[in-house]
Amino acid sequence: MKSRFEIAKDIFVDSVDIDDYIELGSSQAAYKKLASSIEKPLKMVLLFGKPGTGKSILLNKITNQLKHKKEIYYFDTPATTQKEFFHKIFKILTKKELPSNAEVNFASLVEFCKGFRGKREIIILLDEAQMYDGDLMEKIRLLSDSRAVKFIVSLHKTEDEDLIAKEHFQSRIWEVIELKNATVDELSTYIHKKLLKRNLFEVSNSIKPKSLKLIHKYTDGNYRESNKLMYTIFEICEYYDMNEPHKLNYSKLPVKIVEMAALKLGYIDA
Amino acid sequence: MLEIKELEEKWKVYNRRKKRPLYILLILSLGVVGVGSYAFLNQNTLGSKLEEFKSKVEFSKISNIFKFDTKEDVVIKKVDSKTVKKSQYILNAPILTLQSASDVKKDIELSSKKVENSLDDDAPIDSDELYVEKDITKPLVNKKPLNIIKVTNNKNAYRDVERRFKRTHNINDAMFLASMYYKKRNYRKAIYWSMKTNKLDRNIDESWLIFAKSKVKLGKKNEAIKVLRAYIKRSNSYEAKKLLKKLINS
Repeated sequence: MKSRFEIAKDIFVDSVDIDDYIELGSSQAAYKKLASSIEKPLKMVLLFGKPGTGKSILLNKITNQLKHKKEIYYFDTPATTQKEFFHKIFKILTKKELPSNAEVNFASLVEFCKGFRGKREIIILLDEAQMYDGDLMEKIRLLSDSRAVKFIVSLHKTEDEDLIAKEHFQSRIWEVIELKNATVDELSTYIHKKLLKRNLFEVSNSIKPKSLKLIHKYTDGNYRESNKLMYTIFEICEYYDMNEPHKLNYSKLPVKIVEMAALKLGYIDA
Repeated sequence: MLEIKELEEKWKVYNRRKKRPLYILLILSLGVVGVGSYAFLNQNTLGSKLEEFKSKVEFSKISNIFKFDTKEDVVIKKVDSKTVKKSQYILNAPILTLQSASDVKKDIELSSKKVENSLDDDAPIDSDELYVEKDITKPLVNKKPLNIIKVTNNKNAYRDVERRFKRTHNINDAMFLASMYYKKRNYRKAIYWSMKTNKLDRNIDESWLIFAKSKVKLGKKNEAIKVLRAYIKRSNSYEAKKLLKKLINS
Protein backbone atom coordinates (compact mmCIF):
# COMPACT_ATOMS: atom_id res chain seq x y z
CA MET A 1 0.00 0.00 0.00
CA LYS A 2 1.30 3.42 -0.98
CA SER A 3 2.00 5.91 1.75
CA ARG A 4 0.09 9.17 1.69
CA PHE A 5 3.26 11.02 0.78
CA GLU A 6 3.97 8.74 -2.14
CA ILE A 7 0.50 9.44 -3.50
CA ALA A 8 0.96 13.14 -2.87
CA LYS A 9 4.31 13.06 -4.63
CA ASP A 10 2.82 11.45 -7.71
CA ILE A 11 0.11 14.11 -7.92
CA PHE A 12 2.77 16.69 -8.64
CA VAL A 13 4.49 14.86 -11.47
CA ASP A 14 4.52 17.49 -14.22
CA SER A 15 2.05 16.65 -16.94
CA VAL A 16 -0.36 18.25 -19.39
CA ASP A 17 -2.97 15.64 -18.71
CA ILE A 18 -6.35 17.30 -18.55
CA ASP A 19 -7.19 15.17 -15.53
CA ASP A 20 -4.59 17.24 -13.69
CA TYR A 21 -6.13 20.51 -14.81
CA ILE A 22 -7.04 22.63 -11.81
CA GLU A 23 -9.58 25.33 -12.29
CA LEU A 24 -8.39 28.57 -10.84
CA GLY A 25 -9.78 32.04 -11.28
CA SER A 26 -7.12 33.08 -13.74
CA SER A 27 -6.98 29.83 -15.71
CA GLN A 28 -10.75 29.80 -16.01
CA ALA A 29 -10.70 33.33 -17.38
CA ALA A 30 -7.99 32.39 -19.87
CA TYR A 31 -9.98 29.34 -20.95
CA LYS A 32 -13.14 31.36 -21.50
CA LYS A 33 -11.25 33.98 -23.44
CA LEU A 34 -9.64 31.36 -25.64
CA ALA A 35 -12.91 29.56 -26.24
CA SER A 36 -14.62 32.80 -27.22
CA SER A 37 -11.67 33.77 -29.48
CA ILE A 38 -12.09 30.49 -31.33
CA GLU A 39 -15.72 31.42 -31.99
CA LYS A 40 -14.76 34.82 -33.38
CA PRO A 41 -13.75 35.29 -37.01
CA LEU A 42 -10.15 35.79 -36.05
CA LYS A 43 -7.42 34.36 -38.17
CA MET A 44 -4.87 33.86 -35.45
CA VAL A 45 -4.86 33.88 -31.69
CA LEU A 46 -1.71 34.31 -29.65
CA LEU A 47 -1.42 32.55 -26.34
CA PHE A 48 1.71 33.49 -24.51
CA GLY A 49 3.30 33.35 -21.14
CA LYS A 50 6.40 32.18 -19.33
CA PRO A 51 7.22 28.46 -19.40
CA GLY A 52 5.21 26.62 -16.80
CA THR A 53 2.28 29.02 -16.68
CA GLY A 54 -0.16 26.42 -18.03
CA LYS A 55 -0.29 27.12 -21.77
CA SER A 56 0.03 23.49 -22.88
CA ILE A 57 -2.54 22.17 -20.43
CA LEU A 58 -4.91 24.94 -21.50
CA LEU A 59 -4.49 23.98 -25.18
CA ASN A 60 -4.96 20.36 -24.24
CA LYS A 61 -8.11 21.12 -22.33
CA ILE A 62 -9.64 23.21 -25.10
CA THR A 63 -8.82 20.51 -27.65
CA ASN A 64 -10.56 17.93 -25.52
CA GLN A 65 -13.54 20.16 -24.92
CA LEU A 66 -14.06 21.08 -28.55
CA LYS A 67 -12.91 17.98 -30.40
CA HIS A 68 -16.45 16.66 -30.77
CA LYS A 69 -17.85 19.98 -31.93
CA LYS A 70 -15.16 21.38 -34.17
CA GLU A 71 -12.37 20.27 -36.48
CA ILE A 72 -9.57 20.99 -34.02
CA TYR A 73 -6.00 19.73 -34.09
CA TYR A 74 -3.32 20.08 -31.46
CA PHE A 75 0.34 20.12 -32.52
CA ASP A 76 1.94 19.55 -29.12
CA THR A 77 5.49 19.33 -30.44
CA PRO A 78 6.77 21.55 -33.19
CA ALA A 79 7.70 20.05 -36.54
CA THR A 80 11.43 19.91 -37.00
CA THR A 81 11.28 20.96 -40.66
CA GLN A 82 8.88 22.85 -42.91
CA LYS A 83 8.41 19.68 -44.98
CA GLU A 84 7.25 17.74 -41.92
CA PHE A 85 4.94 20.58 -40.90
CA PHE A 86 3.25 20.76 -44.31
CA HIS A 87 2.93 17.01 -44.48
CA LYS A 88 0.89 17.26 -41.26
CA ILE A 89 -1.19 20.14 -42.64
CA PHE A 90 -1.75 18.24 -45.91
CA LYS A 91 -3.04 15.24 -43.97
CA ILE A 92 -5.42 17.42 -41.95
CA LEU A 93 -6.78 19.22 -45.01
CA THR A 94 -7.03 16.27 -47.37
CA LYS A 95 -7.30 13.39 -44.88
CA LYS A 96 -4.64 11.71 -46.98
CA GLU A 97 -1.05 10.80 -46.34
CA LEU A 98 1.49 12.47 -48.56
CA PRO A 99 4.24 10.23 -49.86
CA SER A 100 7.39 10.77 -47.88
CA ASN A 101 9.37 11.76 -50.92
CA ALA A 102 6.77 14.35 -52.01
CA GLU A 103 6.81 18.03 -51.08
CA VAL A 104 3.81 20.32 -50.63
CA ASN A 105 3.31 23.16 -53.08
CA PHE A 106 2.52 25.98 -50.68
CA ALA A 107 0.72 28.22 -53.24
CA SER A 108 -1.56 25.33 -54.24
CA LEU A 109 -2.19 24.59 -50.59
CA VAL A 110 -3.35 28.15 -49.97
CA GLU A 111 -5.64 28.00 -52.98
CA PHE A 112 -6.95 24.68 -51.77
CA CYS A 113 -7.78 26.19 -48.42
CA LYS A 114 -9.58 29.12 -50.02
CA GLY A 115 -11.67 26.55 -51.82
CA PHE A 116 -13.38 25.27 -48.69
CA ARG A 117 -13.79 28.69 -47.00
CA GLY A 118 -17.21 28.77 -45.38
CA LYS A 119 -17.62 25.02 -45.74
CA ARG A 120 -15.05 23.83 -43.23
CA GLU A 121 -13.46 25.60 -40.29
CA ILE A 122 -10.20 24.04 -39.24
CA ILE A 123 -8.56 25.04 -35.96
CA ILE A 124 -4.91 24.19 -35.45
CA LEU A 125 -3.26 24.67 -32.05
CA LEU A 126 0.48 25.15 -32.30
CA ASP A 127 2.29 24.63 -29.03
CA GLU A 128 5.87 25.78 -28.57
CA ALA A 129 5.56 28.00 -31.64
CA GLN A 130 8.72 29.86 -30.73
CA MET A 131 10.50 26.86 -32.27
CA TYR A 132 9.20 27.71 -35.76
CA ASP A 133 11.41 29.87 -37.92
CA GLY A 134 10.36 33.17 -39.38
CA ASP A 135 9.76 31.82 -42.88
CA LEU A 136 7.43 29.13 -41.62
CA MET A 137 5.60 31.62 -39.42
CA GLU A 138 5.02 33.78 -42.49
CA LYS A 139 3.56 30.80 -44.35
CA ILE A 140 1.32 30.03 -41.37
CA ARG A 141 0.09 33.62 -41.51
CA LEU A 142 -0.67 33.27 -45.25
CA LEU A 143 -2.56 30.07 -44.60
CA SER A 144 -4.62 31.78 -41.92
CA ASP A 145 -5.36 34.59 -44.41
CA SER A 146 -7.33 32.04 -46.40
CA ARG A 147 -9.85 32.22 -43.49
CA ALA A 148 -10.35 28.51 -43.76
CA VAL A 149 -7.68 27.62 -41.21
CA LYS A 150 -7.48 29.30 -37.77
CA PHE A 151 -4.25 29.07 -35.82
CA ILE A 152 -3.89 29.26 -32.06
CA VAL A 153 -0.22 29.95 -31.52
CA SER A 154 1.28 29.31 -28.13
CA LEU A 155 4.56 31.05 -27.39
CA HIS A 156 6.96 31.28 -24.51
CA LYS A 157 7.25 34.76 -23.27
CA THR A 158 10.90 35.57 -23.12
CA GLU A 159 12.58 38.74 -24.27
CA ASP A 160 13.86 37.17 -27.49
CA GLU A 161 10.69 35.29 -28.20
CA ASP A 162 8.70 38.43 -27.74
CA LEU A 163 10.44 39.65 -30.88
CA ILE A 164 8.88 36.81 -32.87
CA ALA A 165 5.48 37.92 -31.71
CA LYS A 166 6.23 41.50 -32.63
CA GLU A 167 7.73 40.79 -36.03
CA HIS A 168 5.31 38.23 -37.35
CA PHE A 169 2.07 38.74 -35.61
CA GLN A 170 1.75 42.11 -34.06
CA SER A 171 0.45 43.83 -37.20
CA ARG A 172 -2.25 41.18 -37.69
CA ILE A 173 -5.66 41.25 -36.15
CA TRP A 174 -5.12 39.11 -33.18
CA GLU A 175 -6.55 38.06 -29.96
CA VAL A 176 -3.81 37.97 -27.39
CA ILE A 177 -4.14 35.88 -24.25
CA GLU A 178 -1.42 36.07 -21.68
CA LEU A 179 -0.95 33.51 -18.95
CA LYS A 180 0.86 34.57 -15.82
CA ASN A 181 2.44 32.92 -12.81
CA ALA A 182 0.15 32.23 -9.88
CA THR A 183 -0.29 34.56 -6.97
CA VAL A 184 0.19 33.14 -3.45
CA ASP A 185 -3.56 32.60 -3.13
CA GLU A 186 -3.81 30.95 -6.53
CA LEU A 187 -0.86 28.70 -5.81
CA SER A 188 -2.38 27.81 -2.46
CA THR A 189 -5.68 26.88 -4.12
CA TYR A 190 -3.81 24.97 -6.81
CA ILE A 191 -1.85 22.84 -4.32
CA HIS A 192 -4.78 22.21 -2.01
CA LYS A 193 -7.16 21.37 -4.86
CA LYS A 194 -4.66 18.94 -6.33
CA LEU A 195 -4.33 17.12 -3.01
CA LEU A 196 -8.04 17.19 -2.24
CA LYS A 197 -8.79 15.77 -5.67
CA ARG A 198 -7.05 12.61 -4.43
CA ASN A 199 -8.67 12.80 -0.99
CA LEU A 200 -5.43 13.71 0.77
CA PHE A 201 -7.19 15.94 3.30
CA GLU A 202 -4.65 15.56 6.07
CA VAL A 203 -1.73 16.26 3.80
CA SER A 204 -3.54 19.28 2.36
CA ASN A 205 -4.29 20.62 5.83
CA SER A 206 -0.70 20.14 6.91
CA ILE A 207 0.50 22.71 4.37
CA LYS A 208 0.15 25.98 6.23
CA PRO A 209 0.22 29.50 4.78
CA LYS A 210 3.82 30.04 5.91
CA SER A 211 5.01 27.07 3.86
CA LEU A 212 2.86 28.11 0.93
CA LYS A 213 4.38 31.58 0.96
CA LEU A 214 7.81 30.04 1.01
CA ILE A 215 6.95 27.73 -1.89
CA HIS A 216 5.64 30.74 -3.82
CA LYS A 217 8.79 32.66 -3.01
CA TYR A 218 11.03 29.91 -4.35
CA THR A 219 9.00 29.18 -7.47
CA ASP A 220 7.71 32.68 -8.16
CA GLY A 221 4.28 31.09 -8.52
CA ASN A 222 5.28 29.11 -11.59
CA TYR A 223 3.13 26.00 -11.80
CA ARG A 224 5.79 23.76 -13.29
CA GLU A 225 8.39 24.84 -10.72
CA SER A 226 5.84 24.47 -7.93
CA ASN A 227 5.04 20.96 -9.10
CA LYS A 228 8.74 20.12 -9.01
CA LEU A 229 9.14 21.56 -5.54
CA MET A 230 6.04 19.84 -4.18
CA TYR A 231 7.23 16.56 -5.65
CA THR A 232 10.57 16.91 -3.88
CA ILE A 233 8.91 18.00 -0.63
CA PHE A 234 6.76 14.88 -0.59
CA GLU A 235 9.72 12.77 -1.58
CA ILE A 236 11.53 13.96 1.56
CA CYS A 237 8.38 13.47 3.64
CA GLU A 238 8.08 9.96 2.27
CA TYR A 239 11.64 9.18 3.35
CA TYR A 240 11.08 10.51 6.87
CA ASP A 241 7.73 8.75 7.10
CA MET A 242 9.36 5.44 6.34
CA ASN A 243 12.72 5.84 8.10
CA GLU A 244 12.65 8.59 10.71
CA PRO A 245 9.02 9.41 11.51
CA HIS A 246 10.01 11.33 14.65
CA LYS A 247 11.44 14.03 12.39
CA LEU A 248 8.12 14.60 10.68
CA ASN A 249 5.30 16.74 11.97
CA TYR A 250 2.25 15.19 10.39
CA SER A 251 -0.05 18.04 11.26
CA LYS A 252 2.21 20.74 9.88
CA LEU A 253 4.64 20.55 7.01
CA PRO A 254 7.93 21.73 8.50
CA VAL A 255 9.57 24.74 6.88
CA LYS A 256 12.81 22.80 7.16
CA ILE A 257 11.54 20.26 4.63
CA VAL A 258 10.47 23.00 2.22
CA GLU A 259 13.94 24.51 2.52
CA MET A 260 15.60 21.14 2.06
CA ALA A 261 13.61 20.60 -1.13
CA ALA A 262 14.53 24.07 -2.32
CA LEU A 263 18.19 23.31 -1.62
CA LYS A 264 17.96 20.10 -3.59
CA LEU A 265 16.42 21.85 -6.57
CA GLY A 266 18.88 24.72 -6.39
CA TYR A 267 16.38 27.48 -5.59
CA ILE A 268 18.60 28.36 -2.65
CA ASP A 269 22.26 27.74 -1.88
CA ALA A 270 23.72 26.38 1.31
CA MET B 1 16.06 8.00 -2.98
CA LEU B 2 17.35 11.33 -1.95
CA GLU B 3 20.62 11.71 -0.13
CA ILE B 4 18.76 12.90 2.95
CA LYS B 5 21.76 13.03 5.26
CA GLU B 6 23.69 15.16 2.79
CA LEU B 7 20.64 17.36 2.34
CA GLU B 8 20.24 17.73 6.08
CA GLU B 9 23.86 18.84 6.38
CA LYS B 10 23.32 21.33 3.59
CA TRP B 11 20.20 22.61 5.34
CA LYS B 12 22.12 23.09 8.60
CA VAL B 13 24.68 25.22 6.78
CA TYR B 14 21.90 27.13 5.04
CA ASN B 15 19.99 27.62 8.30
CA ARG B 16 23.07 28.94 10.08
CA ARG B 17 23.75 31.34 7.24
CA LYS B 18 20.09 32.40 7.15
CA LYS B 19 20.10 33.18 10.85
CA ARG B 20 23.48 34.90 10.86
CA PRO B 21 22.09 38.41 10.24
CA LEU B 22 19.65 37.83 13.10
CA TYR B 23 22.45 36.81 15.43
CA ILE B 24 24.53 39.79 14.35
CA LEU B 25 21.58 42.09 14.92
CA LEU B 26 20.96 40.50 18.31
CA ILE B 27 24.60 40.84 19.34
CA LEU B 28 24.68 44.43 18.14
CA SER B 29 21.48 45.21 20.04
CA LEU B 30 22.85 43.59 23.18
CA GLY B 31 26.09 45.50 22.71
CA VAL B 32 24.25 48.78 22.35
CA VAL B 33 22.10 48.01 25.39
CA GLY B 34 25.19 46.94 27.35
CA VAL B 35 27.18 50.04 26.44
CA GLY B 36 24.15 52.20 27.16
CA SER B 37 23.60 50.59 30.55
CA TYR B 38 27.27 50.84 31.40
CA ALA B 39 27.34 54.48 30.42
CA PHE B 40 24.17 55.14 32.40
CA LEU B 41 25.41 53.35 35.51
CA ASN B 42 28.80 54.94 35.18
CA GLN B 43 27.20 58.33 34.93
CA ASN B 44 25.26 57.61 38.11
CA THR B 45 28.35 56.39 39.94
CA LEU B 46 30.35 59.37 38.76
CA GLY B 47 27.47 61.61 39.72
CA SER B 48 27.23 60.17 43.20
CA LYS B 49 31.02 60.26 43.61
CA LEU B 50 31.04 63.85 42.49
CA GLU B 51 28.24 64.65 44.93
CA GLU B 52 30.11 62.87 47.70
CA PHE B 53 33.27 64.74 46.86
CA LYS B 54 31.42 68.04 46.75
CA SER B 55 29.78 67.40 50.10
CA LYS B 56 33.12 66.45 51.64
CA VAL B 57 34.71 69.59 50.27
CA GLU B 58 31.82 71.68 51.56
CA PHE B 59 31.94 69.98 54.89
CA SER B 60 35.68 70.47 55.34
CA LYS B 61 35.21 74.07 54.27
CA ILE B 62 32.57 74.52 56.91
CA SER B 63 34.63 72.68 59.52
CA ASN B 64 37.56 74.93 58.82
CA ILE B 65 35.46 78.01 59.07
CA PHE B 66 33.83 76.96 62.30
CA LYS B 67 36.81 76.84 64.57
CA PHE B 68 35.57 76.66 68.07
CA ASP B 69 37.52 77.26 71.15
CA THR B 70 36.97 75.09 74.13
CA LYS B 71 36.13 78.32 75.93
CA GLU B 72 32.55 79.32 75.90
CA ASP B 73 33.38 82.90 74.93
CA VAL B 74 33.12 83.27 71.27
CA VAL B 75 32.62 86.48 69.41
CA ILE B 76 31.51 87.35 66.01
CA LYS B 77 33.36 90.16 64.41
CA LYS B 78 31.64 93.00 62.78
CA VAL B 79 32.98 95.08 59.94
CA ASP B 80 33.61 98.71 60.38
CA SER B 81 30.33 100.53 60.35
CA LYS B 82 31.93 103.51 58.66
CA THR B 83 32.69 101.56 55.51
CA VAL B 84 29.21 100.16 55.08
CA LYS B 85 26.11 102.00 54.22
CA LYS B 86 23.43 99.50 53.50
CA SER B 87 22.30 96.74 55.74
CA GLN B 88 21.82 93.18 54.81
CA TYR B 89 20.58 90.32 56.89
CA ILE B 90 22.90 87.44 57.19
CA LEU B 91 20.53 84.77 58.40
CA ASN B 92 20.74 83.06 55.07
CA ALA B 93 24.51 83.28 54.93
CA PRO B 94 25.81 79.75 54.51
CA ILE B 95 29.08 80.37 56.33
CA LEU B 96 29.66 81.97 59.65
CA THR B 97 33.10 82.98 60.74
CA LEU B 98 33.44 82.47 64.42
CA GLN B 99 36.44 83.33 66.49
CA SER B 100 37.37 83.16 70.09
CA ALA B 101 37.06 86.31 72.16
CA SER B 102 40.81 86.58 72.65
CA ASP B 103 41.37 86.41 68.87
CA VAL B 104 38.82 89.08 68.41
CA LYS B 105 40.51 91.25 70.98
CA LYS B 106 43.79 90.81 69.18
CA ASP B 107 42.10 91.76 65.97
CA ILE B 108 40.65 94.78 67.61
CA GLU B 109 43.99 95.88 68.85
CA LEU B 110 45.64 95.30 65.54
CA SER B 111 43.07 96.99 63.46
CA SER B 112 42.07 99.58 66.01
CA LYS B 113 38.52 98.81 65.19
CA LYS B 114 35.79 98.78 67.72
CA VAL B 115 33.86 95.77 68.79
CA GLU B 116 30.36 97.01 68.90
CA ASN B 117 28.59 94.29 70.56
CA SER B 118 29.40 91.36 72.66
CA LEU B 119 26.95 88.82 73.95
CA ASP B 120 26.82 86.54 76.88
CA ASP B 121 26.86 82.78 76.44
CA ASP B 122 23.19 82.27 77.05
CA ALA B 123 21.89 85.45 75.53
CA PRO B 124 19.88 84.54 72.46
CA ILE B 125 20.96 86.21 69.31
CA ASP B 126 18.38 88.39 67.70
CA SER B 127 17.98 88.11 64.01
CA ASP B 128 17.99 91.89 63.72
CA GLU B 129 21.41 91.95 65.25
CA LEU B 130 22.84 89.53 62.76
CA TYR B 131 23.52 91.98 60.03
CA VAL B 132 26.32 93.90 58.55
CA GLU B 133 26.28 97.09 56.67
CA LYS B 134 27.84 96.92 53.31
CA ASP B 135 29.31 99.43 50.97
CA ILE B 136 26.63 100.65 48.63
CA THR B 137 29.08 100.53 45.76
CA LYS B 138 29.56 96.81 46.19
CA PRO B 139 27.00 94.48 44.62
CA LEU B 140 24.57 92.88 47.01
CA VAL B 141 25.05 89.18 47.17
CA ASN B 142 22.93 87.21 49.55
CA LYS B 143 24.95 84.07 50.12
CA LYS B 144 28.46 85.23 50.60
CA PRO B 145 30.91 84.32 53.30
CA LEU B 146 30.74 87.01 55.93
CA ASN B 147 33.68 89.14 56.57
CA ILE B 148 32.58 89.74 60.08
CA ILE B 149 30.05 89.69 62.42
CA LYS B 150 28.73 89.87 65.89
CA VAL B 151 29.71 88.27 69.07
CA THR B 152 27.86 85.11 69.82
CA ASN B 153 28.55 81.67 71.31
CA ASN B 154 28.84 78.23 69.69
CA LYS B 155 25.53 77.05 71.14
CA ASN B 156 23.75 79.78 69.30
CA ALA B 157 25.74 79.10 66.23
CA TYR B 158 24.55 75.48 66.37
CA ARG B 159 21.00 76.68 66.80
CA ASP B 160 21.37 78.90 63.78
CA VAL B 161 22.62 76.00 61.74
CA GLU B 162 19.79 73.83 63.04
CA ARG B 163 17.26 76.51 62.15
CA ARG B 164 18.78 76.87 58.75
CA PHE B 165 18.65 73.10 58.25
CA LYS B 166 14.93 73.09 59.02
CA ARG B 167 14.50 75.60 56.27
CA THR B 168 16.90 74.32 53.66
CA HIS B 169 17.45 70.64 54.48
CA ASN B 170 21.02 71.06 53.43
CA ILE B 171 22.88 67.82 53.99
CA ASN B 172 26.11 69.69 54.77
CA ASP B 173 24.45 71.35 57.74
CA ALA B 174 23.19 68.02 59.08
CA MET B 175 26.59 66.43 58.62
CA PHE B 176 28.26 69.37 60.25
CA LEU B 177 25.99 69.18 63.28
CA ALA B 178 26.47 65.41 63.63
CA SER B 179 30.20 65.83 63.48
CA MET B 180 30.32 68.74 65.88
CA TYR B 181 27.97 67.18 68.43
CA TYR B 182 30.08 64.02 68.37
CA LYS B 183 33.21 66.07 68.98
CA LYS B 184 31.45 67.80 71.83
CA ARG B 185 30.48 64.37 73.19
CA ASN B 186 26.79 65.08 72.82
CA TYR B 187 26.22 61.59 71.41
CA ARG B 188 22.45 61.64 71.39
CA LYS B 189 22.42 64.73 69.21
CA ALA B 190 25.23 63.29 67.12
CA ILE B 191 23.01 60.21 66.48
CA TYR B 192 20.05 62.44 65.70
CA TRP B 193 21.98 64.51 63.13
CA SER B 194 23.76 61.58 61.58
CA MET B 195 20.34 59.98 61.08
CA LYS B 196 19.15 63.18 59.44
CA THR B 197 22.18 63.02 57.17
CA ASN B 198 21.56 59.36 56.35
CA LYS B 199 17.98 60.12 55.47
CA LEU B 200 19.15 62.67 52.92
CA ASP B 201 21.97 60.54 51.56
CA ARG B 202 22.52 57.05 52.77
CA ASN B 203 25.93 56.75 51.17
CA ILE B 204 28.01 59.05 53.35
CA ASP B 205 30.55 56.93 55.22
CA GLU B 206 31.35 59.57 57.82
CA SER B 207 27.76 59.95 58.90
CA TRP B 208 27.38 56.18 59.43
CA LEU B 209 30.64 56.07 61.35
CA ILE B 210 29.52 58.91 63.64
CA PHE B 211 26.23 57.11 64.16
CA ALA B 212 27.96 53.84 65.06
CA LYS B 213 30.61 55.47 67.24
CA SER B 214 27.96 57.47 69.10
CA LYS B 215 25.98 54.28 69.73
CA VAL B 216 29.11 52.66 71.14
CA LYS B 217 29.69 55.65 73.37
CA LEU B 218 26.15 55.27 74.66
CA GLY B 219 26.87 51.62 75.46
CA LYS B 220 24.99 50.18 72.53
CA LYS B 221 27.86 48.36 70.90
CA ASN B 222 25.76 45.50 69.49
CA GLU B 223 23.44 47.92 67.81
CA ALA B 224 26.43 49.74 66.37
CA ILE B 225 27.84 46.46 65.01
CA LYS B 226 24.48 45.55 63.52
CA VAL B 227 24.17 48.91 61.79
CA LEU B 228 27.73 48.78 60.49
CA ARG B 229 27.23 45.27 59.10
CA ALA B 230 24.11 46.36 57.25
CA TYR B 231 25.91 49.38 55.87
CA ILE B 232 28.97 47.35 54.80
CA LYS B 233 26.73 44.83 53.06
CA ARG B 234 25.25 47.62 51.00
CA SER B 235 28.24 49.87 50.45
CA ASN B 236 31.31 47.66 51.03
CA SER B 237 32.84 50.68 52.78
CA TYR B 238 36.47 50.27 53.80
CA GLU B 239 36.20 52.71 56.70
CA ALA B 240 33.09 51.00 58.03
CA LYS B 241 34.85 47.63 57.82
CA LYS B 242 37.79 49.02 59.71
CA LEU B 243 35.55 50.35 62.46
CA LEU B 244 33.56 47.13 62.64
CA LYS B 245 36.75 45.10 63.01
CA LYS B 246 37.90 47.45 65.72
CA LEU B 247 34.58 47.16 67.56
CA ILE B 248 34.54 43.39 67.36
CA ASN B 249 38.10 43.09 68.60
CA SER B 250 37.68 45.58 71.38
